[in-house]
Amino acid sequence: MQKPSDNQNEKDNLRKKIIGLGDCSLRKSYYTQLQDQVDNLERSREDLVEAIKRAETSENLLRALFDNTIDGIVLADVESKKLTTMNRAMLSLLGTDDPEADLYVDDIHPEDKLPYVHTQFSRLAEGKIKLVRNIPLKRRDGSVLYVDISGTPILINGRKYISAVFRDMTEPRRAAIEKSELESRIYQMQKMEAIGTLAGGVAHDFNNILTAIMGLAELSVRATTQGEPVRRYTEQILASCHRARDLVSQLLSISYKSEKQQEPVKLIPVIKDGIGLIRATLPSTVEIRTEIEAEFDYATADSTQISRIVMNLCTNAAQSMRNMQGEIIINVSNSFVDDKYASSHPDLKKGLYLLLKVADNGSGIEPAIIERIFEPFFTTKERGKGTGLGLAVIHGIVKNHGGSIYVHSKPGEGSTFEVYLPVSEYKNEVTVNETEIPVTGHALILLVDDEEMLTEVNGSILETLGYSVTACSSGAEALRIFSDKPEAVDLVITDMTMPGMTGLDLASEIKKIKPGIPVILCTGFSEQLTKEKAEETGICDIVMKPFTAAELGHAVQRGLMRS
Amino acid sequence: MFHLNLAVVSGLFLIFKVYFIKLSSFPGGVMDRYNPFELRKFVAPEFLFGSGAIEVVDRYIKNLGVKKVMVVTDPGVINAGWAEVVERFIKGTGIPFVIFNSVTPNPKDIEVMAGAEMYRREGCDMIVAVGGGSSMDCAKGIGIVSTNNKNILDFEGVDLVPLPGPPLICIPTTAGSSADVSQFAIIDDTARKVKIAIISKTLVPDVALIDPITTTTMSPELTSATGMDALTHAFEAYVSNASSPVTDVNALKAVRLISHNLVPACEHHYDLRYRDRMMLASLLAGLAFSNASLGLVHAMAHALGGLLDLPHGECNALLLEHVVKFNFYSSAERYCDLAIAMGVDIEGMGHDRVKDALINEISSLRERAGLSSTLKSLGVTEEVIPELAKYAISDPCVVTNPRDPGIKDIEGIYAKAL
Repeated sequence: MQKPSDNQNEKDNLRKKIIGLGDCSLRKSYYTQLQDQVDNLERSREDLVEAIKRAETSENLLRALFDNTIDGIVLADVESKKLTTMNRAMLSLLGTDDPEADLYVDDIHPEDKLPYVHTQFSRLAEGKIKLVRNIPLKRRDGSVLYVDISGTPILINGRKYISAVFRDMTEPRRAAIEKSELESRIYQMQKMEAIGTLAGGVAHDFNNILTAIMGLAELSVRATTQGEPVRRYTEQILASCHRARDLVSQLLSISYKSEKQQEPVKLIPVIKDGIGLIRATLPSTVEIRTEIEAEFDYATADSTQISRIVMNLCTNAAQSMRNMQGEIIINVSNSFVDDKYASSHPDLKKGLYLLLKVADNGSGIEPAIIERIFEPFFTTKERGKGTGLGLAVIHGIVKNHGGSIYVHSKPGEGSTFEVYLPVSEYKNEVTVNETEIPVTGHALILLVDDEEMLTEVNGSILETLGYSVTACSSGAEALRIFSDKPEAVDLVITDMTMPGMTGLDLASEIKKIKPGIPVILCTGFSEQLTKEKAEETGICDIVMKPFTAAELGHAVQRGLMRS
Repeated sequence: MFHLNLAVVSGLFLIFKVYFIKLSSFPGGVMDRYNPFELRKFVAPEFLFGSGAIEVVDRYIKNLGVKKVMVVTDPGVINAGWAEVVERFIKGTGIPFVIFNSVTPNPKDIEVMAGAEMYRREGCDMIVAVGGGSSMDCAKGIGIVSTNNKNILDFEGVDLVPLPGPPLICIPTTAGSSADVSQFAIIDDTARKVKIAIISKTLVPDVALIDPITTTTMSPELTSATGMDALTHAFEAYVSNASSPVTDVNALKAVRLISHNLVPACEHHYDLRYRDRMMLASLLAGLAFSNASLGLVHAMAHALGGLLDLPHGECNALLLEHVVKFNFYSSAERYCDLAIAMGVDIEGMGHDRVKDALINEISSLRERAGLSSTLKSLGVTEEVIPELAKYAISDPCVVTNPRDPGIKDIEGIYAKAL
């Protein structure tokens, strides 16, 4: 302890302190501590303000990043499945603009997918998976988006959350589906083409065979008298041949290479006629509603076949609504196929079409078989109740008219067939039907066919009709004969498809020698051959194999009359 | 901010500014000693005086909103049962508490440091002291060591405690030390074998709960020793060169009360009337000496306590009459006032006779209270006197003694008191 000094001043100072008047003689108080605390608080406050500013800047930055992503970002509470935080992109995915919206996982997915969503949610929460693909997202307006969700479990203040990123995959998904649909359409088209080629090839050869059988059978009939058993048998052969010819004709329709009877025609009256015909045959429980909206309906078409499309589709529709009240809606409208639509429907070209829709509310078509319904001999009917050629023939007819046919169906909800038929924007004149003419005559006919059996049969038929016939088996031979005596020959009948020189080539050579001579072309089918082209070459008529004696006679008669 | 703080300071501090203007017609002799231009301050804690004061300790603790309480007490107080009473009330608050009871008479620096360590370890944030001067001084020490993180010996001297201690409630169980209201703490420096005085306004407790009932368990010996201690406080405060009108009133009243009630209190220790008056006397003496400081008696008693570990009250009692004799003429008027307060009829007496009468009265009161020992009988020898005197003269209490003593003077007084 400091010794009290003799120094009086020092002593006085000490005394002053003792009685409480020294510099530090504060009474016990927390004043100094409070002052320190106040200073500390002031410093802390300044630090805090600074920290808040920094936090705000950082928050704004993060918020900007958070809100300006294309993907939706969500923080979901694992226990309650509540979406506690959502960025703007997420809100726009959900079709809402209320950031305070109380949303739960169950609110943003379609109800029927919830069990699956819950399972995936749990697996994300446990960190077992990081990505869930193709989850449907229910928007506020009820529409559905498809999203890929990547998520990670995180802990915030001891609570478990999933931090998830939602990526809208609706467009890529749609594109993928479209691509696969396009592929399947191309496949379908190629398949139908192959079937058509096969059917056409078979039909061609079969027609040649049938022509021979029919010709010979007809000769046999003529060579026998009424009441003879052989005549009766032969007539049976002929009847069978007629049925076979009908079948081949159908096969040729499938091949969409037949060139029968296409002429400028107004399609709507044809369709209406078809509807009128079928209405009578349908049960009373089925109602047909017709909506005609089309403005342009002129097309080059075979009206019988168009009518057949309507009738066949209506029959199928009615059959799908057996034992129930049903309605068939037939809608006819114009549809312009643009480049975009054409690119996804490779069998359609850009242009104006008549769109015929036949919709029913019947049993619909199972997805497993929908791709096969246009195949020939594919049928869902009991054996013996249908040929399985109906839709295949329709397909062929439509193709033959440069159109396309599609089907949309859901089992239990009905089916809709869409038939696109190209139409002209301009009116065309309708040609007048030809008049009947006699079938017999007395001219010299040059008959050319590489099938000797056919030259024999057809030669015999022509001879029975009163004509003189010179037959040969190739174009070159025919040309030589014709060159020798061009003035003697009144008419030429040539097969189209022959080795060496086609019927068309032969016709043009002959026309060079004798321009006025009528040439008739016989053919099973010919894709190159149109009436116009034939006329250019100077062909006066085309006879489709197999033909009857009468048909051949008419053609010869017409040819001779022209010359 | 500065102005606001000033307002806080004036609100927190109890400042008595007493101006006395010397007037020619001013009656009364003592007043002319006061310097009319000297500022005076009076420091006291909030105190609750009266029977049952101990029972509101729980309310004070609750109001402070603390987390854990440390109770500082000593084995004697525990035996008397007062520590248990306080514990019961603290338990009622639901606030946890710990008890530190390693306090001995003349509290040691090591005890203070051990208590501070316990205070820190237990995470306490307030102290309740229950006991005599030892427990309360120890508690004050623990408080300032805890807040300032220094050794207790670093605070020796006047105004050397930078930060106040934590909230401190004092419950005195003796009527004499007045540590519950004072700015003093006397701690034993065990290495140097000397008592150090720590004088600081930061040592004034926040609350004193002064309950006279607690003194009924004191023995007659303790009653007389503490009573004589209080008398010494009053005497020294009254003659202190730092006394003031406010301390004077308290000191004189204390002397009167002690003179009349000490002996009956020793004789009838369960009589609450005497206990109440002795407790009041102790309080008034405490308020006086805390603000006016002490004198040579305490300086010499501190030396005895430090070097020989003698009981403080008894030392004061034995030294008082000798110091009065030494000081008398330097403050004769004041000693006359004290003689009157003790009941001595000084009518017509000169200063010499008053001095003898006063010394006789003190000596008589001491002996009637049962304190007939001498320093020699307590174990003080002539050989230690120079060392005792050396310590005594450097005690801060000497500063306010009315007569400035030399070392030889002090040695002489010790010798006479042998």
